[in-house]
Amino acid sequence: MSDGSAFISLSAIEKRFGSLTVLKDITFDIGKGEFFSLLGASGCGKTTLLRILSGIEQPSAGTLLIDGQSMAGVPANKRPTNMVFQSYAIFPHLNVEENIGYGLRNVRIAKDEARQRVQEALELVKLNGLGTRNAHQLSGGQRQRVALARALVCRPKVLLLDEPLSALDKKLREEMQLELRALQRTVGITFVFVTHDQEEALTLSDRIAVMANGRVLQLDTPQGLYERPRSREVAEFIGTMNLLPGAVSQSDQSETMLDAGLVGTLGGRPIEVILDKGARAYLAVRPEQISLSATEPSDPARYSVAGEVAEAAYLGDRIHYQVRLTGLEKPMTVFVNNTERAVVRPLGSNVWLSWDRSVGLVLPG
Amino acid sequence: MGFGLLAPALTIMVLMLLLPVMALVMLSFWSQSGFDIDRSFTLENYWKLIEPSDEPTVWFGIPFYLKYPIPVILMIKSLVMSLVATIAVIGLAYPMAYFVAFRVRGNKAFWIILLTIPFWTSYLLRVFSWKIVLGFNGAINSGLMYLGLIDAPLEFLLYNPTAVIITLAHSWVAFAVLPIYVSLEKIDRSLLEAAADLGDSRWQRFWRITLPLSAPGTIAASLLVFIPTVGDYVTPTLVGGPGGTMIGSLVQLLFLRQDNAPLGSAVSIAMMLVIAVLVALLLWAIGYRKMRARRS
Amino acid sequence: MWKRLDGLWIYAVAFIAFIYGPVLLMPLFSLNDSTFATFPLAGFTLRHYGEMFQNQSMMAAVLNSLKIAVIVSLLSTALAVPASLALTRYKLPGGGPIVGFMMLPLVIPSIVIAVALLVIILKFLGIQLSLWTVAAGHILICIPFSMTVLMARLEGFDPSLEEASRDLGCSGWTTFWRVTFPLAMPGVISSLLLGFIISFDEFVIAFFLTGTENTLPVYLYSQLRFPNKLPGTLALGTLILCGSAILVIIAEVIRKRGVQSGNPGDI
Repeated sequence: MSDGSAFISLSAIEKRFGSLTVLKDITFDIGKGEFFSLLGASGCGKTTLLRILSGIEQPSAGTLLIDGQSMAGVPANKRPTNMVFQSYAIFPHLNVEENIGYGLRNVRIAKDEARQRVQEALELVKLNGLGTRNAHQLSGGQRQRVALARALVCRPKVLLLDEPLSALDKKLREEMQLELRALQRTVGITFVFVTHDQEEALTLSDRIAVMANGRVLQLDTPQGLYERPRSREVAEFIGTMNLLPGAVSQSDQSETMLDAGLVGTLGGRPIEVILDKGARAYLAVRPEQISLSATEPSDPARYSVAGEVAEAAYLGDRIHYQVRLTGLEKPMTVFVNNTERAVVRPLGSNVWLSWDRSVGLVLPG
Repeated sequence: MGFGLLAPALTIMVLMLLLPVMALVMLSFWSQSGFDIDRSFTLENYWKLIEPSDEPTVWFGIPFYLKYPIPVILMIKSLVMSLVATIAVIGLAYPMAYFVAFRVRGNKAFWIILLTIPFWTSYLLRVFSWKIVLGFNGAINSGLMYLGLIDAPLEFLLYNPTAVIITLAHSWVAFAVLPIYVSLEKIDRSLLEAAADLGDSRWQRFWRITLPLSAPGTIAASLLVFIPTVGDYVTPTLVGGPGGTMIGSLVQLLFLRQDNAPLGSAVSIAMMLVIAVLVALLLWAIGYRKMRARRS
Repeated sequence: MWKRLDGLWIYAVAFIAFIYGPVLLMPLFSLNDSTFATFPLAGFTLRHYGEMFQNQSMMAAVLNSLKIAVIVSLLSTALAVPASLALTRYKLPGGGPIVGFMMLPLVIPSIVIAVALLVIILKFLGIQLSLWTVAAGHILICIPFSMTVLMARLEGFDPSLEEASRDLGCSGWTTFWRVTFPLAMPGVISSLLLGFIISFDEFVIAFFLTGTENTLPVYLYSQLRFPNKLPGTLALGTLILCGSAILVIIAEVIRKRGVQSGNPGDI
């Protein structure tokens, strides 16, 4: 996928609308052929960043290079990028073929070749035979395919996708995720994908930039983001995370010990910086990494704490528990796989939670 | 770029609306002497509109202590007649708008077009058609005489303020339906369902949900009818007769017959100011701004 | 549709009868074989229409009105299209007050507009009154109507359609002709038709601003004073009513069809 070199290079990009700053100090590179996602809640600036890449918006400061060319002063219609809009923006006065062929009128190619390319694009997105349909006769999924074909037929160096799956229902969305991934491998160009759905970002991307308040919080692979979140915000945004507050009591390169009050003293791997003694911090543990038992486990390689089942939800393949710990305001979430031996524990029953000493992370508070 | 596109239309509007109105204002501070205009600044025209006199002119039992009471009396009369016509228009238009918004299912466009056609067809002809209806030898009189219900034509039908009010109401009623309809149509139907769910009867729902939420459209409609009708000229001229004249007739008279354009200008300016002040007072009194803000 | 024939339905039908009734007397009496518009009806005739077409001064007035209406509808639409684009597509500082200013002719009594124009034309500029001055006045009152129709249309469609066109390689100018204009077309056509009707039917401004030549409404008004010319006047009025009604229906149907198509980007 990615060959490691910087194909798109953003440095110190800033965007202001009047007195409102929506993007601050955005600096990162995207590799050639990479499936790259911008992930964040609505209003975090991800769509604005995508529009800056496309040339629809101009950055207030900073530089943008695509394939080594500076994009300063290059308008949207002269950039090697094409976009799939959130609303799809299918031209209502044109049919499917005319929509797909729209951009080809702006490049010097023969009419026959243009027709050929439109047909290929129709096949690529599995819309063979629908070329003469009118825009309003298409379903949501078909509109999305037309928008994809219309952008790809121009053979852009970068395809920009603005939440293209958010208008589809869950089943179709999952189907399209797989297709989109396969499509990206087929055409081999760089995809920049904007989404607010962390599961979607994890499924599709080579790398993800998690954004909040106009900044990039963390840029990493899906696995890196899930297993080594560098901040509380990222930890909470990607998946579910238990956060136990405490104060650093002792720390070194390999382990940081936290004094978590009545819960006890617990340890975890430090992330990035080694925290000073006494600093506020969180111990972060994923719900699926915790086991639940009726008696205290005696394994010295595991931390264990006692609690009381406050809520249990039976989900079929697994059971979600909320376990209340003495001295902890928020109950801990535990996912237990529904294997043969699993029993649903009644509310109010006393249980022990335990996890391997190596799985906890210590995040700055 | 944006201003470049806007410039031609805006220039035309400035040249043809702002400048003429300013010219009208200037002229109202000049005076007419014979066939010429005396271009020295004077407040004489405005003074004339309010110049007091010891001898009262009595109109409808109200004494006006003015030397030249016609403009003030006509202004009051026009405002009252427009107000009555506006109330009639809203009273007639609201149920119709309600009907189209809530009762008509698939064919809304048909009803909207049906209501729109009369507004776009010649105002002059619509007013004139009332002259045929109400006239001395008109449809009502000849019809009633033909049926033997009356022996002689009813003279009170035409050439009076009532005829003007009926005609004004008829001319503007279809126009008022549209803004009311739009505000009714915008009401989220689930609000009414929620009110019903909370125990409101049909009437309570109307009073507590529909009417307050359609108020902005209704007020807009009232203003769209009231403002232009105060200065209407065609209707009083055709069906008003001597008793039904309005302020617009006076403006026409001063400009085209009595050749006193400066006084006519002063009357026009005063009329616009009075309307603007009244409308502003009304909007302030009912908190229109807040009402609109609440809706969005 | 007729399932619930309740009070509101009866009201609606009565309402339509009220707004159409008086106007429909005009065609009725224009076909009546009598000089007076009275009941009982005397018999069917088309002679009033025949006489009308032989009337030289009336035909001249028709021609004048047509000329003015065509010029006015073209010019006001041509001015309103870029202005509406500017006001809907660019966040212009002071956009709100500018729209308010441009909508002013809708709420100023037309007699004030007429005398204000009369004053500047005669007393300040010293230009002769003519059909051109009438056309100028009509453009002024048509621009707000054209802008209303066009802005509603332009605001209605998804701005990302134009962005998509830019993204697919079109310049601003090509985008206008390939996307914006075709999509605004229903609005442009309604604007042209409405401008035509408004100008063709307008009386007060034409009455004040015309020189020696008459427009049709001004001519009609002058005829209203002569009772013996009533049937001819009614015939003429009937034709004008029918003409404007047909144009309004076309304009409205075009506008509504645009709005109703099931396309989200087309609303």
